[in-house]
Amino acid sequence: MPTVLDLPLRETDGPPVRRIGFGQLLACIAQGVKDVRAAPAPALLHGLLVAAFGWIVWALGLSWPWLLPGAFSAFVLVAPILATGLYEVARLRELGRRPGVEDALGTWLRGTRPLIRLGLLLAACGLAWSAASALLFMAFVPGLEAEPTAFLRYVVQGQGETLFALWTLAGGLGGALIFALTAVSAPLMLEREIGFRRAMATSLRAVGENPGVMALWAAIILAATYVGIATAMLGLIFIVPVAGCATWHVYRALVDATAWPLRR
Amino acid sequence: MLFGYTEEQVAHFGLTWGLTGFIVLMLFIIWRLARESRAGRLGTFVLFFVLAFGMLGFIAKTVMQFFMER
Repeated sequence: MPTVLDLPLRETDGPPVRRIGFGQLLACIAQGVKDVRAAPAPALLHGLLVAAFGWIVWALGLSWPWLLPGAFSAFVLVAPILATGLYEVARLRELGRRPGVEDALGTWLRGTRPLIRLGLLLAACGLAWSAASALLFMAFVPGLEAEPTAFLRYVVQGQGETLFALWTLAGGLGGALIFALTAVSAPLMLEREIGFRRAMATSLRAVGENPGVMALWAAIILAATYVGIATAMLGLIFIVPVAGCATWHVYRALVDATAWPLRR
Repeated sequence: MLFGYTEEQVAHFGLTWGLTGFIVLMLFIIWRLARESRAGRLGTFVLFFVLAFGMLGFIAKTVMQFFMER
């Protein structure tokens, strides 16, 4: 039976990319669940770290509420680099090994140069987005300093219709851009000796060849993140590792980087 | 008063036109990236993504509205 790895490739400058179907996306997510069940310690550690980060942001938000909307959006942007240890877990499992906590931490410490550049870029985008959102809400939402939930009330209860629509459009465009650039580039750079720009271009091509499937994947990640945040971050403990490991399998399904040398 | 406009008018102008300009800039960046990387139907993806993002945002807003108005 032919597998996803036998599908025809689209050739260009960088590693060729494949077209995949919705079924294969679901198979990748199922594989992610299996990875987490097989290596719970390193996987759930990442989930716990992200949840703890969420709690810190929330605690800060109680004192400085205008930080909240931007900080939570920024959180999603920096996620691909936080998930590096999870790609390593999925990668080692694929090689038939049993990854431990030390393997995941080793990836963080090894921090190859292109991965650090990606991390810095994402952090810069996250900060810019947080700052822009904070300024926006601070400037245009009356009485924000007085009450932590004032911004929610303002946006939710109708006075902020134009603001909400424009903020959603700007956030959607920025999110689409970041997602398209990073959907497969972080796992690609973790596995192969490949430059920063070429990895990003590969990611754009992979997304451009699979607009429907990748939009669904992005929507699933977004919705799962909402659920994670709505459950007081507890859901994130499980959602983050599954999404991280599934991202590795999505990368393997979309990109054939065998012509590029393995890292290390 | 600033050039005959109230602070509120200046703020409103900055919000709508500033954000609109930001949106146009991002569209331009996406268009250039899609061309340079020959990324096929990246535009279709962006359209789907923005629609999904807007829908999820609207659902989240409705859910929050329900809980806050109870």
